[in-house]
Amino acid sequence: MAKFIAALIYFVICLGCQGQTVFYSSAVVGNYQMEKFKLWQNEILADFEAQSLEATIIQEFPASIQMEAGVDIVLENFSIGPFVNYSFTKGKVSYQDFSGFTASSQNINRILIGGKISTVQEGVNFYGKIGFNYSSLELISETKIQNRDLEVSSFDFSSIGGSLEPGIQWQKTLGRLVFLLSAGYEFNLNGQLNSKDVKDTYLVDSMNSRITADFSGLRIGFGLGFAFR
Amino acid sequence: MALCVRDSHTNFKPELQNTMQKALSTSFLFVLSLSFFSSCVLENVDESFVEIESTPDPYYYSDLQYSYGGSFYMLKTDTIWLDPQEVVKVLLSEAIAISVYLDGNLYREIDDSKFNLDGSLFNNEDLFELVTEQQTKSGTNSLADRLGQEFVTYTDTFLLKIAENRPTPQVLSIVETDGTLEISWEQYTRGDFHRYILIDRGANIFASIDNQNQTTFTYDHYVGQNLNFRLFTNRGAFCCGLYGENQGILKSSFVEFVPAYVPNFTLTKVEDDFILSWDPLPYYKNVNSVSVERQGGDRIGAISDATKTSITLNFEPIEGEEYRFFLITSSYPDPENDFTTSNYEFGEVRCCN
Repeated sequence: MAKFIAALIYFVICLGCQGQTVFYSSAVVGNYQMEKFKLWQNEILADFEAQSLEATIIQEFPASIQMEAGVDIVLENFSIGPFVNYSFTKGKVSYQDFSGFTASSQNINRILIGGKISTVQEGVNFYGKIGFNYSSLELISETKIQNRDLEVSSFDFSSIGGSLEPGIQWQKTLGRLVFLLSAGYEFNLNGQLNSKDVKDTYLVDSMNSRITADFSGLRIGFGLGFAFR
Repeated sequence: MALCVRDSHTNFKPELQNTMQKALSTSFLFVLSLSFFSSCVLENVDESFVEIESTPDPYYYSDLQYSYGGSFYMLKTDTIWLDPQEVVKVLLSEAIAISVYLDGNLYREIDDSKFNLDGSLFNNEDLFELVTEQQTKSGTNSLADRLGQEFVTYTDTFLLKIAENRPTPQVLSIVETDGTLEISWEQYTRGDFHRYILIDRGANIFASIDNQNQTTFTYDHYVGQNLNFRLFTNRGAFCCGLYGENQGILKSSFVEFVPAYVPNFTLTKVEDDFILSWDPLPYYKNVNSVSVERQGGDRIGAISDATKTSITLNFEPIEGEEYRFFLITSSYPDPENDFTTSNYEFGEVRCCN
């Protein structure tokens, strides 16, 4: 495995042997649309209320810190290279009183793999990213009553989709270190969430409409790179 | 360029490896540090505790009853006096399970609505301690309650005696003062109490008392009649047929109150009239009207002033003959019960003074 990684890196470096190659990793603050999930949360909330439980939405797919890593290969006036991005967000509807708690959680993970192209100059550059993603949803239902054991059940779903992100990027090179600041907007389109356990089953809301994960949103990143010359 | 692979792989490799190690160590340490943060969403989570009343709802407590004569009566927490043919019943509509302990030992676990007492307990002079533990849903409306996992155990303790010799309520005294009767009795302390009932000679209920602690009753409609006070303790159903033991009457005591008053009739001739006189009525304030009848049904007359003690006869008695009269006193209508009470006082008198 180590040899494979080394060979892959070597291959990328070879691609960039005409110019500069920068390995970078970034922390990206991202928020998410998740409109369908937010509507679905309200349906879950209504289900609680139908049982006279005054549940609350305590997490509504908030912004999170994404992890991203990639390679920029500088070719003449632009750079090109692959990147991988991992993001995570979650929703939670919960009720808790003196006797215990019950919660319904929706944990959504996504891995985005794609390519990035950007202008190359010291200072501000434009960039564009395009890629496909694999998303997984874990629905977790938890109930804990007084001294009894925690009861947990979960269902797993997955989907695939694509993303496009235009943005601007500022970079500063100090020796071999490259500091990156970026801002962009990701347009994300995902397919239906298929059950991992039950064939031909996918997630729908009460109106029988497919629920999809929409990771579209603003992206603000800070990265650190290492330049090979 | 410090890093160049165009010249020679041989020259490149050591430098590349060295550089790659630096790059990997720098970049991936950074990535690893980010992976820690990436699991954190950028939002403060407030899982606030919902405060609800944790006190169990007594609605789910099932009343304990016992059965007699086809009817069921409330069982109260005290000594209960059961006849051998009686059954104890628990309404299981709300209770989930009930355990019955007799003298500390598990007597029965009830999954039915009632249970019969064991025949070996009958006609035993001992008192048994009957403890019932009923498990119900809590009714707090908490999460656990709604999931059917929160229960409350109610414990009731009874002293149980199964015998025929149920204690008899005792009338202690009946005192008349200026026409007012003060009736007092011994308090009935058993748990099978339902009410005290006093009836008069005409089988009218003139007192129905639910308060077990009340042991006196003031009767202010007395007009001189003999009263048969019958003190009942009663299970509940009480309607028609006062004396039937199957009407819910547990025990009754019978006391007859005989007034000290007698009319002492006198017959006097005044000029051409014959005047019938009697002693003043001690209970005149309760009397609405007084009438006099001669034995045989002849009405002599009536007066509305109870303080008057004479009436003129409407016939001429024969000297030396003995006559029999009734002095009839009627009470004011009872505003609560809308009935009047009458009394017939009989007396003989010889004509004439």
